[in-house]
Amino acid sequence: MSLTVTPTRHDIAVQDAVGAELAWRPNVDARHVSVTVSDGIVLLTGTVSTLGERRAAVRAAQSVSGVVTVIDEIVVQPPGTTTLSDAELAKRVDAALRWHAAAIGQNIRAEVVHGRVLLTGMVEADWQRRSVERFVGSLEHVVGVTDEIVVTPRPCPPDLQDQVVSALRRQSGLDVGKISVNVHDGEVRLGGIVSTVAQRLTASRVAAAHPAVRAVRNNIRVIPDLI
Amino acid sequence: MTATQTSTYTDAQVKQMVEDELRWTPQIDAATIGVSVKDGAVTLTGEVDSFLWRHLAAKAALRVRGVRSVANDVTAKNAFSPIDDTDIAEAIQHTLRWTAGLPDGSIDAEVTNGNVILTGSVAWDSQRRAAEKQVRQIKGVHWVDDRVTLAPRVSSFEAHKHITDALKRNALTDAARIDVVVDGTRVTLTGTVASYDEFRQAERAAWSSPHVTEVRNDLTVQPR
Repeated sequence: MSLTVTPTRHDIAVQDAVGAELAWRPNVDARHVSVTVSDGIVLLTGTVSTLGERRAAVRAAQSVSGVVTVIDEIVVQPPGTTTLSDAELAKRVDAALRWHAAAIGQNIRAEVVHGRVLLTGMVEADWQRRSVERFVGSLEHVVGVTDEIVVTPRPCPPDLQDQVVSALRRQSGLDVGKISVNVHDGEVRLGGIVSTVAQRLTASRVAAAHPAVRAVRNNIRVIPDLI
Repeated sequence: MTATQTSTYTDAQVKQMVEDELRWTPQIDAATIGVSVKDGAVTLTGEVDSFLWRHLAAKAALRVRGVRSVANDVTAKNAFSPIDDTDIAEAIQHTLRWTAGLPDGSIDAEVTNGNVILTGSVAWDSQRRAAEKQVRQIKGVHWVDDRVTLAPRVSSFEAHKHITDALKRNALTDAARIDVVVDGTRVTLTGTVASYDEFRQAERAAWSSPHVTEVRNDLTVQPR
């Protein structure tokens, strides 16, 4: 049994726009990517050849006006013509980590199973973890990255909440008028409303920057300005 | 606890916010960077450990409300024990070859005392930027001079429409305030944007056209 919901005219417009943006961006071959939209929520399915393209497809969809959030169910299917054994890929990842600026002096290990890279170990700061994860994900033949790197915990300054609020306030292009911030025990909880996905993502990134922040729970809702 | 915003900032306020943002940027040591502001135009000075940190310092300043532009006079010293140029060149070569989306052999790197010159030709500006980003993250890279060119393209009368359509689709760009002029394969953007993010999105929209080999971004960031 299937339930069909008639898409609103707005959803159709967003679907067209996301499709157009995916076709427009040169860093993703979206010929096998499907787009469906319901109440501004974009669902991406289908296949691409690299993890980089998958990430690019999500960013492309997120950039489109009227999008509330993007659900990514794209499958990375490397072309059959170019294959690399897990052992070879692991050697490459290890080599690349040896010369990566964010990995210097850090204890990071990589294991590869069927093209999926599992990252474990410990780093001093969250930016190193994110930088390494992004970098590994940019390599050919990597189908996915599971990041289980642990970040050294740091003590929270008593004014951490004030610091996060100040940081959000000074971001150009971020409308903080309807954003709420609560910090408890190193966890930042964001709530409220913004008008674009970009602002929602910025709020997370900014909140996560302080080394004492161990997690960000982002409950900000995106309500696009509809013209 | 919610926050409010004001619409205009004094140079002193902008300077304070830029300094705060540099401290809030975990990769860099803000203490080594000097900030001066004149009518919203920021100049960064000082010395940091690497080209990557210098790049991140400018990015941080560009995120700040009230900033119209950033002049990056920060210098990069090579803090690591001098890494052999051959090792750096090898690391660059492997990285570019192993990076998805960059055709093998399209980009060459020449390394002298950690200074990297990238040459070669790619199909898209996004590939050029991706390559530069990969190289910036390699240990020992002191400077990156990106001389990679774009493969020649034919111009098209449709380029203008496609670029303005892209600006209209984008949630960040206010197409009504951005003027696009296409002359052959060169695009010039003029008008105003509200943030550096919008400035960059507009530029990327222009670079995404298959009929463009040059983008001149003359947009002014008008802080709100």
